[in-house]
Amino acid sequence: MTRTLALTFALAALAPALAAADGPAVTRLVALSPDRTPLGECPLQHTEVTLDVSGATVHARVAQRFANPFDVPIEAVYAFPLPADAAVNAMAMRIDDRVVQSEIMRREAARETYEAARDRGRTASLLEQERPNVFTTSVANIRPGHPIEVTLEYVATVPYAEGTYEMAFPMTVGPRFVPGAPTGRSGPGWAPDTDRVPDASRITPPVAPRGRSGHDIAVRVNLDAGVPVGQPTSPSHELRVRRLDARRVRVDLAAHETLPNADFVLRWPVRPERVESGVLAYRPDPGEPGYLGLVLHPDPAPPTEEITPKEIVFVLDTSGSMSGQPMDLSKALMRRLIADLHPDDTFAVLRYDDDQSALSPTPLANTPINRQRALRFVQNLSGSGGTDALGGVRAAFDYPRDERRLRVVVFLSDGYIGNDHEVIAEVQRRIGPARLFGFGVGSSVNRYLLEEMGRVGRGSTAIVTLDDDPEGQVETFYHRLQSPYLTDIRVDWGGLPVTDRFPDPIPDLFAGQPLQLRARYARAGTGTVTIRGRLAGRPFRQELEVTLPERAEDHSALATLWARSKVDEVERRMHQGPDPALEEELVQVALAHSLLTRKTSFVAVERRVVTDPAGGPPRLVPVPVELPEGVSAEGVFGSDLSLARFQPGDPELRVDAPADARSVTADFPFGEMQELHFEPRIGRWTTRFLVPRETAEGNYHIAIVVTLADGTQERLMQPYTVDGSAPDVAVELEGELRAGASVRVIARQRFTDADRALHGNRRVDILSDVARLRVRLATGERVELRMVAPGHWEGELEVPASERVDLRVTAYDVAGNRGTRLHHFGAER
Amino acid sequence: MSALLLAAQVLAVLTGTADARALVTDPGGTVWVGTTGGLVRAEGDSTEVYTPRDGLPDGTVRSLLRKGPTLWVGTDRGVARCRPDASGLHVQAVVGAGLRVEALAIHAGHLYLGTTTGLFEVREAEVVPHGPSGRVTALASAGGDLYLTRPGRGTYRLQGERLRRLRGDRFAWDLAADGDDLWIATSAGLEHRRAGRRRRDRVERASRDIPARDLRSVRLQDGQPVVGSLGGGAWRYSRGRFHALDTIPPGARVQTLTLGPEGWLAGTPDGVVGAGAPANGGPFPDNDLSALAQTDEGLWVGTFDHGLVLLRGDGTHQRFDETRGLLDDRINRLAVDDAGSLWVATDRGVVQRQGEGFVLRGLLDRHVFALGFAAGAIHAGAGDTVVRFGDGGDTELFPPGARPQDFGGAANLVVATAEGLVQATPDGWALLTSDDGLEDDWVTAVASGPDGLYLGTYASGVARLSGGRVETLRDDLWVNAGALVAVGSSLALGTLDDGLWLYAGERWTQLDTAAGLPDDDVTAVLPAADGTLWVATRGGLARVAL
Repeated sequence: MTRTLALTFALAALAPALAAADGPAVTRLVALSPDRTPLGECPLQHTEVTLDVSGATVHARVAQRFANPFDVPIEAVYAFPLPADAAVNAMAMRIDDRVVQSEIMRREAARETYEAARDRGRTASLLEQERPNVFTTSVANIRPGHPIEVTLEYVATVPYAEGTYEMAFPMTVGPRFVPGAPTGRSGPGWAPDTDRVPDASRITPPVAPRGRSGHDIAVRVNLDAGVPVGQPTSPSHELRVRRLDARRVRVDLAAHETLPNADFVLRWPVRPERVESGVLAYRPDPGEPGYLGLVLHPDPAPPTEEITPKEIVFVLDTSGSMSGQPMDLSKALMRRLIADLHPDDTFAVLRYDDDQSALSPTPLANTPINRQRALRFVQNLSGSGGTDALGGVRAAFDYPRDERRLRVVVFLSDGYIGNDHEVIAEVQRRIGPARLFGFGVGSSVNRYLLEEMGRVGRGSTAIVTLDDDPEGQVETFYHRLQSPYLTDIRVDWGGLPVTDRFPDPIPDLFAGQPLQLRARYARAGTGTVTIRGRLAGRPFRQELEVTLPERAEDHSALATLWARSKVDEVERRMHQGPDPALEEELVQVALAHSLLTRKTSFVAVERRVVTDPAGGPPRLVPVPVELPEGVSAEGVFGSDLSLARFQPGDPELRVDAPADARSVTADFPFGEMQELHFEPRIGRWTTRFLVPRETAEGNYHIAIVVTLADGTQERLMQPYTVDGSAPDVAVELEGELRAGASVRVIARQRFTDADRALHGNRRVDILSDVARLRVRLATGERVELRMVAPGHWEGELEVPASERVDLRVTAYDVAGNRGTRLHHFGAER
Repeated sequence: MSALLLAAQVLAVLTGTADARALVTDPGGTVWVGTTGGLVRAEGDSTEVYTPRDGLPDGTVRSLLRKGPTLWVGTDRGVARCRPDASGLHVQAVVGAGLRVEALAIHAGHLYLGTTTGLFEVREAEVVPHGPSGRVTALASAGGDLYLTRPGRGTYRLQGERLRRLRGDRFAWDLAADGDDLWIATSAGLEHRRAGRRRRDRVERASRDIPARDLRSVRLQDGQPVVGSLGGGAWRYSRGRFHALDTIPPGARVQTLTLGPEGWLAGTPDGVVGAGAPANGGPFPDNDLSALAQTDEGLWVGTFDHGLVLLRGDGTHQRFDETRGLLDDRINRLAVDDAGSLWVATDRGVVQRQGEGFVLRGLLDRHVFALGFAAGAIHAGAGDTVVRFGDGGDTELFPPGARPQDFGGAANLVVATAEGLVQATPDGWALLTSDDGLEDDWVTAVASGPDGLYLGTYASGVARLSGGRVETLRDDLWVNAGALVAVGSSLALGTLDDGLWLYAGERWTQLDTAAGLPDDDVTAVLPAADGTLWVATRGGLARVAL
């Protein structure tokens, strides 16, 4: 039996194009304008990161070196990530042999200062925070031949759990989905600002072709654990490790690991019994308040047989940025999560991208059949479309619940959204007695979003990189979910003069997690601090002898860390909406402690005028960033291409590569390899190929290897869609069916489950693929319709004397599939 | 048409065995070559080719595994278990019908198949999937685990029921194992693992010095890797670096390797190369055929992307491609004008045979999809353009419709287009569409017969236009572009995956692979002078007797 099989195929173009080589073969490094047209070479050359770890505190120094490859002064703008809990407290600018220290100012004042200096021809730099984990460095008036280095410093606490410290340093800002209606553009990013993400253009830096952002990174970690430390490892990068003694180790990235496209994750084990509880203090001036940091490692709890019945709602991000490896990893996590469900738990599986759907309308019992259903549901998921994370969260909390069970929401996502605050606020508002756990999936997850969701959800978050073992992460998750943990934590300071304590309230702890508090103290003193709570439902109590010194000059980071904790708590109180008083409180703390926040910025201005202000403002060059490892550019940027027209016959693959490339080879998923030919007329390498007729509908990828003239390679995976479904169009008539009357004919493409399964749930103007519509009356007379919008046609017809209208509607989609439907209106015969 | 009972049969099949995708050498020195034209057995100077006529499930052989007396042959339609001996191949069983098998391995006593739709394990007669779907190009058993490569995704290890991705290059193509050592050929060089752990040793570093290090094949000799590069020949590791195998051409696009009786052999898209390499069988550089034409020189056969082949009456053949005087290797259509001269529609324009070569005639750098002699001249179609090549010059025509597919008509031009059938009239052009009774606007082929004009369509069969009326003869066939000819009082048409169809006296006869055609996708049909039919398919050429 013949089958209506035709093909939709992406006319593939590497976007953006590989630059043609001039002269000796080089891989040119391109900076891009906001509309992604090349401007020239990238001004950011190198980032040098030094992480000095002392115990559980890291002091970091991040040096960004900018140069000017043009022959005119430029202004470079670079959006980059830092750890979400980093307390940035210093910035300096070096020009040639001069160092200019920065000042902390209110954000608006800092920007005015910067812009005024820029317009006057002075070299200036500005460091701003866009999100807790996204920052922007702007450097104005970089002269040709005079590189500038901007150095920032921060302190942070290294998370510890169950014998292991884990430190993550992010390297690139993943491409964010930005919902809302465009309102303008305040920055050089590729997304416009919208009514829901007013700063979208500042958190969406241009994305360079893979491996071609033009800048590299070096990372060194000087680790002094304070106790004997095991061998550091990294699931993300190859390392060079040099052991200095039992407590100290130096770690560098391996020489080839210079591409800033994946979070650097470093783990080091210590023996739990060597990690001690205690208090550190910093008080350089007895006349001023001191700062303290308390760490308590609760005694291990005895095992318990009591298990709370739970209903677990899994929520999977199936948006375009998850396409490819992140989706595979998500599926692997889900297979383990489903397999390891407790026999008495119920579960549900939801997915979201542009919209949401669920495996079942109500939670399912944990039976083999239901687990199989879930596995099949998950296996058939693919990444495409936008990211309505807010919709995903709402769907999870709107899902029918069993009041007798503890609801646990498990969120799997890369977190690439611009409306972080909306989502966090929604979780905070709706969490109630439920708990939310996050799995951040990918090489450069938006950790701030996922970790804050876990925090306000009174759960925890695990970041699972592309090279992590899902099994271990799932085991930890269930261990935390089912193991006793410490709740209702209260601290009695035993009369000591301790104030401004954070976090407040104290979150619950999971097994193996320490309690970490920061506070200020007014006077010296000695006392017993008592920590109380409930552990597995039973009263918990642990005491700690504490001495608050009159003067203490070590551990200066405590002041900055306290200030950062204070700022975080103020921000959390504003999740549900801005508050001018709280914002001012935030500003005052930040200014007092030289802390970078979203309301305060660092600015450094050189006193000398170095460029002629009469020559106009310097040329703005936004620095491109790497696409995170594993993220498909096509999944994020190119998903529209699958609906392009193609020539009848075999689909054509076009690749934008230099004419002098040695070869361009395409390997197709059905086992064929083609060598592409360069076509001068269109400046592309092309080939045609045949998709075997038995190929199932779905999304596939072509592996393309471009060997350039100098022998280097570019590789990418080009997606395409096989669409064998006939299009469907619904028709309605508006007007009275009276003989001789004129009625309006409205035809709309109807999207089937097959369409959604194939293309995701994108906006209809993208999904609509009907290329031609033919409408005829029973008499054979044609009814002319015109397209008023994608998937929407209108026209008019005269009602025949019978006052019955029979229409034969034939729709042809771009793949050549044809669907015909008869529509009948009016009186029955 | 007369009411004849058609008794068609396939007389002969011609294929080429140039595209060597799999190689294995017997302990006895027999070299087996998997090609798109069947399985080649080379022993000394003799070769024999096995095809579906010998029981193989398909003529395209992608993988081979020799285990004792058994030869496993992976094809585009499953795996055949064979017991070859001096008298033949002896196919004993076929498993995994419908799977395109690119890799074979025996692990823990079971046969595993790497296919274009994932990894499968053969358990008794059942084929069980493992892990997610997606192409698997190589399998190897090392250190008790099964490893596989999935291009674009990387190398994986099967542990129990789980597939775990190993950290490394994601464009991984081939594997070779020796005890705990595993070698992975990738597009960025060679990776070496021992007991599952990456070595990053001298061998890896040395492999990055191989020019054109897109490595598609790896084998071992005395524990040292030998690699094949796509465009860079073959290389063997020795004393700290890789040395080119000088019996393999330096620019060879190596897809597979084996150590033959006289030295290393490499399988390339153009055949097997190396010491003692068996000669390619058959005349075709590739069996994906696209067009046919007959001139005084002989039978011209166009291929999808490997140029043109001339089959002479004396049994010799000659190839033409971009390196041998042809404008482009991608041949879309062929036509012969009233002077007996060959015209060729390629992806870069139209050329005409002149003397011993070809000259450009027009539409340079255009994808020319349609070509035919009609209304007294050669016509060519590219995009929405139609050009008439006449003695007085070339004329661009502007018929309605879009994307011309075929040309017909004796006195007045008829153009099959993707938006209907266009006919030249004294008053201009007339367009016939589904409004006028056509089942499908996409008309792919047109041919004049004694009872009218016959039209083939993309997905709605065949119709006859006579006296202004359209009559649907059959509505369920997909007629390939230009693959409709009148043969005496019969009609012959080539379809997409339903073989060759013959129509006479209101009766239909089908010939497909079950009847001996090399492939069911018939792209061109040409009547021969002796009353037989030449039938071009995507799997070779057949001669059919009516």
